[in-house]
Amino acid sequence: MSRLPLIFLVAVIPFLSTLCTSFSPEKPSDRRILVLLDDLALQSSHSLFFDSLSSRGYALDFKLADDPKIGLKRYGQYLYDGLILFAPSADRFGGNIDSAAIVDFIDVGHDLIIAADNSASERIREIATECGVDFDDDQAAMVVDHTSYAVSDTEGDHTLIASDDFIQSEVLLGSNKIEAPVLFQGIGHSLNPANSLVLKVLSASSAAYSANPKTKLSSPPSLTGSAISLVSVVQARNNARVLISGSLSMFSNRFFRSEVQKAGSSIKHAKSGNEQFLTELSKWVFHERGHLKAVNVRHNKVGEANEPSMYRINDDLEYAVEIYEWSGKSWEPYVANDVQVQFYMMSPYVLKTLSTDQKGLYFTAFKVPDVYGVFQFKVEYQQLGYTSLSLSKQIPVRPFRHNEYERFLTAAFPYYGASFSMMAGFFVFTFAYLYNK
Amino acid sequence: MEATNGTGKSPPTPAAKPDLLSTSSAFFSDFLKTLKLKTKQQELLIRVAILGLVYILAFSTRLFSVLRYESMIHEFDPYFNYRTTLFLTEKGFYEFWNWFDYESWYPLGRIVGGTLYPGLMLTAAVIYWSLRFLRFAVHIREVCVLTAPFFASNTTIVAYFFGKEVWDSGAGLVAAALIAICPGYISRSVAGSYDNEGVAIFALLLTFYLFVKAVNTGSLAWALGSAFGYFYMVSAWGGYVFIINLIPLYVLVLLITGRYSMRLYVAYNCMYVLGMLLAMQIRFVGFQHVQSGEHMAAMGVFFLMQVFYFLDWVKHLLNDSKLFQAFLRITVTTAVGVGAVAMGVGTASGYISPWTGRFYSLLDPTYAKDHIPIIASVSEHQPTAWSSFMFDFHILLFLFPAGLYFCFKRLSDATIFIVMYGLTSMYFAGVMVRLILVATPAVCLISAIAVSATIKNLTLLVRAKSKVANPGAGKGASSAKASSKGLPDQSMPFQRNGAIALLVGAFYLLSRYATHCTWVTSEAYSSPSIVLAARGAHGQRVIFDDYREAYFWLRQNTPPDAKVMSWWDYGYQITAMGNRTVIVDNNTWNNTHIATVGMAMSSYEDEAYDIMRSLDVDYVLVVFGGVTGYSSDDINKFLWMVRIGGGVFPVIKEPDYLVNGEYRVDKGAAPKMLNCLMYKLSYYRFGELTTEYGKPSGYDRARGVEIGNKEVKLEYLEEAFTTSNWIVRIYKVKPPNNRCWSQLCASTRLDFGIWLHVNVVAGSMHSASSTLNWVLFCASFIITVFEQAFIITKMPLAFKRHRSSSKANLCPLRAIWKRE
Amino acid sequence: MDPAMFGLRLALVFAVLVHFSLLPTSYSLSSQDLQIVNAERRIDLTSHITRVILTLKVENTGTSPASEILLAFPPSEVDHIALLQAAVVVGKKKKKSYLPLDVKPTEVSEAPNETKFFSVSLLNPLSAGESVTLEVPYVFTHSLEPFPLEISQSEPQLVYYHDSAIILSPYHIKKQTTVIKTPSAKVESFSKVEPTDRAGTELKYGPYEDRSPYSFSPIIVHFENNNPFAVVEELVREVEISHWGSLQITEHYKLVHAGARHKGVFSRVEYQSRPSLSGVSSFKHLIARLPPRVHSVYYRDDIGNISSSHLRKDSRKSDLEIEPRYPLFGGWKATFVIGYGLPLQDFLFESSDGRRYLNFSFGCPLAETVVDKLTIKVVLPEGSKKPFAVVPFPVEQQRLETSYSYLDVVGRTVVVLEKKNVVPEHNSPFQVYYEFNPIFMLAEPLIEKEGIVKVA
Repeated sequence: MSRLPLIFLVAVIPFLSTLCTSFSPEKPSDRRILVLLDDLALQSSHSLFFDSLSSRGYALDFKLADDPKIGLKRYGQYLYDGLILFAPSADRFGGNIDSAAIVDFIDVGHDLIIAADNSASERIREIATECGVDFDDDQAAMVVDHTSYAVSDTEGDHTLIASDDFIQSEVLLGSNKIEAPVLFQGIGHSLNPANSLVLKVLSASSAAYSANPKTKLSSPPSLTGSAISLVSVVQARNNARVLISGSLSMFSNRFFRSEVQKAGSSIKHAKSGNEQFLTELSKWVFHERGHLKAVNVRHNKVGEANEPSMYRINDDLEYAVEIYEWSGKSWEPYVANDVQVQFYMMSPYVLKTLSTDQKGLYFTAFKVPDVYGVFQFKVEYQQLGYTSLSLSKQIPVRPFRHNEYERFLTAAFPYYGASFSMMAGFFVFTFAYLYNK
Repeated sequence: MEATNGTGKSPPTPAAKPDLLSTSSAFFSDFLKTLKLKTKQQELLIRVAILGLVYILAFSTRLFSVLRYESMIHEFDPYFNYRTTLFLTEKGFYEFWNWFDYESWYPLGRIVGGTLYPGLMLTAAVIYWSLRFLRFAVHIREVCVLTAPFFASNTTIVAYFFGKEVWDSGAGLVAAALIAICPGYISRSVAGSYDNEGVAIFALLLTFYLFVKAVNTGSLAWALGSAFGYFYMVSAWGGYVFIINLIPLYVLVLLITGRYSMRLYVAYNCMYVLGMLLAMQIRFVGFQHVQSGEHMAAMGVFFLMQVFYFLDWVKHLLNDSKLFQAFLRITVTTAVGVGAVAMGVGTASGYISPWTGRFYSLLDPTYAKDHIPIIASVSEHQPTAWSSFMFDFHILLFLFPAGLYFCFKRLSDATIFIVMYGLTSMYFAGVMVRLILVATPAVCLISAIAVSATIKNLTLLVRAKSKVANPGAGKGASSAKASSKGLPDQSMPFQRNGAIALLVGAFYLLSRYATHCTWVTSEAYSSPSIVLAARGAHGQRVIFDDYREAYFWLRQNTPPDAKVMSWWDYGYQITAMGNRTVIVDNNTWNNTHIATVGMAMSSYEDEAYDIMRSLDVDYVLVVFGGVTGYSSDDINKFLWMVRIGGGVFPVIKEPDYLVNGEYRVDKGAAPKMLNCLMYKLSYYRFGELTTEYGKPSGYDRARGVEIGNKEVKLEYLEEAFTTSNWIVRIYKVKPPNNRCWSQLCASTRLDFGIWLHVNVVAGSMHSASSTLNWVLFCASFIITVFEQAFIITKMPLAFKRHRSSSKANLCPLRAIWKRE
Repeated sequence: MDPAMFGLRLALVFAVLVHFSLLPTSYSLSSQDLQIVNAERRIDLTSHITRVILTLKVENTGTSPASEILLAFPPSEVDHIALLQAAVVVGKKKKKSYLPLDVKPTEVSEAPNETKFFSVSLLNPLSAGESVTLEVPYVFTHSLEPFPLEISQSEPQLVYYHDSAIILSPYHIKKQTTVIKTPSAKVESFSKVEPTDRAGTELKYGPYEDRSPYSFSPIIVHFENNNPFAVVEELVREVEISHWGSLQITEHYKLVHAGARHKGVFSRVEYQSRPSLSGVSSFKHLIARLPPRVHSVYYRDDIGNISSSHLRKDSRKSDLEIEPRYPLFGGWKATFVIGYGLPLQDFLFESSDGRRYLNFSFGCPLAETVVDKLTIKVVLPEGSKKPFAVVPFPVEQQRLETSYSYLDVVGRTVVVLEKKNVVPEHNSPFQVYYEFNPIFMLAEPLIEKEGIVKVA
């Protein structure tokens, strides 16, 4: 009882200091990252990758996966913004971490990098499945490719794959193209077809298959061809980002440094594409790239400045929103021509593409439809690699007031005439009746 | 029987009035002798005194609920009326008139100003403003609570004058007394039941009285008055359709029975034309007077009157009867022909809208059940059971025929009217429970005629004898002699004793009536269904205030723009007390929208989730009586949700929820029943609870069974709040899964959204054609005839139906339930 | 220390406190020749209102007599101070008594990192070599920060308390100790500044010897506190005087549970079946301490009467136990109105100069609640003149309004008093003086007749 407070004390004090620098919408890039390892040797064998992170200003906190002291959160506050899970064989985690905790970690908007291996444990598979990625069930299976393997002096079992089948996205992989193929050695996974948030970043060639290289193939392999994904990313609804790789070794210094020649091609690259590929990808995962924010959404009647609480049918209105992209250091205006706004009541009544002034401001103007009800301004913007924007703002639309209709209808002139002639006639007849005998 | 014979022999004369009064109030007589008043003055004094007492009685007998609970609004609709009245008093008339309420019927919204009868709110607001002007710092709530009793009191005054007009002032007084405490009327006019009917009955009776007066006097002034009365009625209640059909019917009957007169002509034309023009000023009614089938009868009769007048004139011009006969034939045939053609064209071209479902269900009690479940689902739209007739009318039910008899004995324009009013309204009362209300004044008036006529004759008999016993009993006696001339003096020796016995019997019956009315009022009609009272284990009174607990929780602890989905019964209360947006409410103008909610409630959780997402629902509210044994909860209403939902969405099929035609929630229940949203929300974690000793856990006290599915798991919703007695349970709709976006359900959701939109919005579009078509008059004549013929043929059938249909949910004592 | 004792002292202090101004007098800390021989601080954290009693033994080591003693507070604490008093202790153990002193905020020119000061002016200057013992009770509100910020129904409520182990003072302190009393022995963690020890519900910091002026060492105590964090965000009390013999009070409450916010589901089953485990930090009823002989009490809200309240009356006080419609969890709100009538003769008196004055208690009748903004409206009878209020402590605002009630013509004068950050210790009487001519009492009946005539 007397020692307990001491423990808490050491825990509480440092973390209080770090509270202020936690993930914030102002600076979306992560800061504090927990790295869970099988053994601390990885820290040196994969140092290049880690160095690239820490050089970009991340505070890495290396822990053994079964360290009893580790914890993702304390008193409801998360201690880290990101998690790197380089513990493929860990079948249980220390402290209060379990697969559910890690899933919650994602669900509150934090980021995750998982590297599995052909000895991937159940925990890792669970988490991957939660994210919509299914590793090959066969424990011993690895991705084998007899056509696009990496040429090495010893004729291996072709599990060392040199793949250059990248996803075509500058947001994910950076602007400059990756020349050298990426070395991969590990297990393949397939994407859950029901899940449209997961993307295949590096996929195997059509000749690849997933099986145990040691034994002969008795039955046809479950995963074959380009259905096999080597590296995938998930961007959750709340824009938490997850990187899932079937191979831990592809992060290693050995693969970063090694020269690579893809089977069948004469070009021999002095250096594999792993470093560039993974560095760029980690930039994306930790929100250095492709993070959008939409600020001060405005709408108003044409010719009026302030925002009304309610529109009338057939009003002309203006809608504007500012969208910025996080460049890793500052917010830059986001430029695109495909941002659309809906004027929505159970289904879009108006769908307009916003025009932009290249400085982040997107705006348009349209006429309120001739239907009253509670509408919403909806912006649902989902671009490959970018954080998905979904803004919705509720605004009621009312019908005309009693004095907003036009006073005299031309169509009704016969009726006016009728009524007035009636009155006149009445008067005349009364007069005639009373005053002539 | 002798009594009625007696009346037959002695048609009462105005001269007989003083006797009647001074004798009928015997205990007054000596007191009156002491202060030297002329009989006229005595009579006036007594009349005013009685009226004043009746006025006070009518008001005070309706205050049970205030004394027993608190000064609060009752039931469901009154809460909407209260909310709108509040809005009116705060924002003023024009804001109220143009009020677009986006807190109800999300996302469609509701044009409140254009879809309600503003009469009630305006009345309350005017009372409120005038009190304020007199520096009485009253709260608008108090005004609203006491509006109905106040108007009930006024109704008694009108009833008196009406009775006086129809029969004599004695009948008027009795009518006033009867209507003051008649349960049929009290049920809708207790303090706190702030509903349209409260003022509408007053308006109805006033209109009728003024019209009869106009017919009797033939004066434009009275007709004008009745037109304004009609205007007030139209502004107050949809029941005005009854007036606009009854009066033409009455006129028609007068025409047929050859009672056509200039008085009638003046009265009807003035009343109809002015009334119609005035009624068009109410937004909700608009042009219906010239466009909808319900109003065509009046127009037809109007033109018929002109034809009659024209014929009269022609007859007066040419004195050749043969020629006139020919002319008459031609005119009538052409008129009828033109009318028929016009009607046909109108209906075909859609200028004349056909009768609405409610109107049909009035004419044919079976209609709603087959075609409009949403109307049938309301318990007060059910056909009336005999029990409730007894309950609401008591002895009036027996006096009514007697009264009719008297009326027929002394036919006049007025009595004809009251007879027709009585018969038609009696029929409608048979069709719908709530229309007992409309029948009540007529029943009271006619019974009053019976009572007063009987008693009068009896007293005449008594006095006829007594004058022999004590000669020179004063002016009254002598006139009694005068009036009892016709009596065979010694022929019937026991006549006097018989008369006395009958008198005693009559007074006994009346006193029974009074006690019954008081009992009913205090027991059945004075409980605000918001607060529930029950007898505890030791007989003490237990209060369940769960509704307000839940509504206030919503009001305080949910975001202001939260959308609450519940069955439509609770919509008005949630908006008024919870101050939150609802999807559907008691103004059931859009069947599709309600069906959507019904479908959500009756489908599996994941399907329901898509529906709720497409409606942006944040919270779901269900009412559950399993813990307390509160019987009118959502599980008991569930079949109606299924029916209404299935009516629009064929996916929902009633048989899926029944086990060989039986509705049950225990182990034997249908699998879909056990897993539909409503079941899950009602019984979530109910299995862990032990509600009664000696019963297994999860014992539902409302149904009296152990529930079938005790492990209810919720995936897409989570419990947000449950009231202390579990009567109201509120659930929060969770956001969609963070890591998985199933393309599949996303697409279906979109389709559903659009589909829903098509239906709902289409449902909400109002048909707005604004041209008047004056050509369609004659046909309505025929329509009227047919309609009335229809009613008359239907009458016996309907009465047969009452005997068969005695439903539990019609029991007016639904608010009182034992808690053993 | 036991609350009764505490209350007694406060009462004493209140009794003679005079109405003083808020104007801070600038003051230069020239005479550094005071020193504190012994300082003892007892911090009571048992409720959500932090009560501190600071006992100082001040000695004048200089040559010139000192008439004022400065109390220093860190800026963060100053705006949480609801109440600060000082009293000088005279007499020894047995016949101890307290003489209240005048306290006012002051500016000090060379104050390090904007420390805020209050100056206690002694009754008679402290001449050289002498020493005096001061008793300084003060009350903080909103000084306990719930952590974690959100708890679920089953979790207890943990809070932080930030303070300094060493008393902040412009003077040299020879010896000091601080004792922190927590509601239970459940303390998650606490900073250690040796010597620190913990026994049961008490944390003892010190004794520390010879600390230089303005020395400061921050500490955090993280402990469990499940007492109801009942905060009235806004309270409007209307006191309506009718010379027909009654005093009608109407109180509009905006109550909120200011503790850790409720997270996730609220399960009624849990709440009903195991009340000891679930919702320990929530509260379902409060006690309102009303004056004796209270009558016609009501308790309602916007949508009607709230049927769950009990009134217990005895000769000295009446306790009204009110139960909001639903139990209040962290962050949940409830608004309601309490109204009651009181016999006029208990509260309205006639002063020597013929003026009438109302003598009524300030503050909120609910027990152990903080009121963020209190507005008192005293509605004087129609026709009363020259009203003014006397309050034993500073109030933010005083103004006059006019209101109309039943049968008013010219309207009634309303004296409005506003004060922020009110604690139960503020429940001391205040007075409203006004002139009134009894003839006006007849106005209303007359108007009533008028009205009836009008109506009829």
